[in-house]
Amino acid sequence: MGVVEKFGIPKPISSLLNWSRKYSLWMFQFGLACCAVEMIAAAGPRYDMMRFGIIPFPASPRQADLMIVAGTVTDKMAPAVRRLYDQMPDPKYVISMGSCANCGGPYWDSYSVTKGVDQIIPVDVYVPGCPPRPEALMDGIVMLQKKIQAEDMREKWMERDREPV
Amino acid sequence: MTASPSDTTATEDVTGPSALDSYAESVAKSVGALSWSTNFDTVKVFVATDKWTSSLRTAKTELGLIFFSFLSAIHWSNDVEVGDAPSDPVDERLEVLAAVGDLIEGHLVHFSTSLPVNGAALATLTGIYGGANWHEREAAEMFAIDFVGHPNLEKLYLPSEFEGHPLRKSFPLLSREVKPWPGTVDVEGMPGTADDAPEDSATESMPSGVSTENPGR
Repeated sequence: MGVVEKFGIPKPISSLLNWSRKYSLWMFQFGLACCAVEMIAAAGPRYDMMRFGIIPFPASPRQADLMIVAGTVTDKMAPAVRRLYDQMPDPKYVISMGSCANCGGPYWDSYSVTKGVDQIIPVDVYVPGCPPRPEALMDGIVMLQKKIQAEDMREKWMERDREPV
Repeated sequence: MTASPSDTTATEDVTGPSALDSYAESVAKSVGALSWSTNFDTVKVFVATDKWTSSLRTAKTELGLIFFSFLSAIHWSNDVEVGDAPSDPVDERLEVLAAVGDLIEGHLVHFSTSLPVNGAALATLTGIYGGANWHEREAAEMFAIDFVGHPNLEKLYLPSEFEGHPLRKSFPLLSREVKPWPGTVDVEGMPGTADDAPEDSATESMPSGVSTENPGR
């Protein structure tokens, strides 16, 4: 990537590559609580996530582009979330779904719940709700696709080792 | 729930003791319990700490209470770190509860014993009910109870490096030190109650973009 790091990617090529990437997001599910049911509903036939080019539920994080953390992340689960995120190949994206994954939600004062998954992995899109309806999740996915389309591939490459806030 | 395990709370009824009462009394007599109660239609027998295993062994072998439902504990305390202290003062103690049942006759009996808060120790039930293993591990990590003779008293739910015992009333919630509990503010009433939102604003209270139509219809 030496050339890319030095000169970047020409805009038309970058635009074409981004356009092809955003409609082929393999979605790794991290269903941890009731939000997972809404996520599964979004992947099911009624809401049909695949019409947006989201390919649901690959068997392994190594085949995934997008991780959806749906539900309550506990301090005991947090190392597993981090490990599976680290196993995903770059470029990778994270959607934090629901109040629990965003900030702890109703468990904001709990002794065992992580106060937001963004403390352990970087998050691209936060979907609020308790739980968010499938429409809300798909709105977040469309927002992520807009973000990917507008992305400069060199910047994405440079921030591949970014740490959570 | 009785305030003290020494209270014998056999409910006096004009129609005489019910079938539940007579069953509770017979169980209490068989296991050598200190007292019994049937509050909330729940059979509960209070046993001495040193007779904990022997009474439960009797319950399993002689009374047919072969199904182990759960084991847990309650920290009774007037000095609570989070929330409101009990309105009526309670005896400072750890109450350990084990529920065992008879699935054929449909009985469920709660065995209760009281432990001191400091240095709480109790003989394990794993030799009698195998299912007590994980329940005792959970009670040990949550309440700091030492189950003597337990084969593997490691933490079950909490991370192994976790410090403290969260279900003790003296356990502080650090988030609330930073930001106090706001109480019930900005909470919508349940549908059909008096403080429910007025009808004309029913659609306004929905999140934007959400249809009021049921998509499952």
